[in-house]
Amino acid sequence: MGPSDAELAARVVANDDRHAFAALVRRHQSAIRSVLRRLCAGDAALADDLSQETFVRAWKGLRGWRGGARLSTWLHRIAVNAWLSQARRMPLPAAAEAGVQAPADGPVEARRDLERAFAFLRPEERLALALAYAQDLTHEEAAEAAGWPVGTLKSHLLRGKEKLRQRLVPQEGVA
Amino acid sequence: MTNPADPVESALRHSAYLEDETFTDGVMGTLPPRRRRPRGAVLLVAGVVAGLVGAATLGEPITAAVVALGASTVTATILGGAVLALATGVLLRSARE
Repeated sequence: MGPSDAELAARVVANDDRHAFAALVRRHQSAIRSVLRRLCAGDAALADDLSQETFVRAWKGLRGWRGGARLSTWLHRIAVNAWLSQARRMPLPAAAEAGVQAPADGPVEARRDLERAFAFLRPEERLALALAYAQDLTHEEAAEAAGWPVGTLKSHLLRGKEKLRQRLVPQEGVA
Repeated sequence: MTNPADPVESALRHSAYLEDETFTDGVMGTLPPRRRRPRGAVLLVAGVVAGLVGAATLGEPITAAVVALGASTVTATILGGAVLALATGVLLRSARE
């Protein structure tokens, strides 16, 4: 059990400690990249670019993190903003471009199919599903990261799940 | 709201750990250069400027007081400026902390 997020963040703020920041990136990279892969409907290269942008923004703004929210919630909020900025710059790819195909038979392909199926969702449904099922966020934290009340998150969640079910389940499940 | 038997639900819940590989190295390589921390230099310059301004505006009474104690006018002016600079530096430092 290494130093807590708060201890590492304090070292970054006090001494611009790059080793401490690298430890934070290693600790949170999987969660942030996973969420962005879903938001980007499986475009791993774009998701990793936005993840990188997320951590660079976090480096610049870490002094502004007051510890009121968990660091992971704060990082997800930055990731959402990076994704929204990207969506404003360049419209999200349509489902056909995202390459949704017949269901896969392996776990890796199943994961990719799920990510690609996000292309059929509206942006707010993508956001709700990606955050609500993020590795370590509660629904309250997911709503906070999205900037919504919890009720709004849940209604987008229900609609998004229903669309995914229609897309993925008729062909013998998703996994 | 959740149903573990729902295949969509379980697919959404299953999120494999993504290996770091070179991701962290890539992030660290794109961070902006280390910020310089000119606190000492800022305090010194601010102190000197404040001392000069203080000596010009408030120096006369301080100088007069120090001269009355037996020092020369030049020494008194320098001492007055130094006192003001020190006080400004202490105030700035405490304000930052």
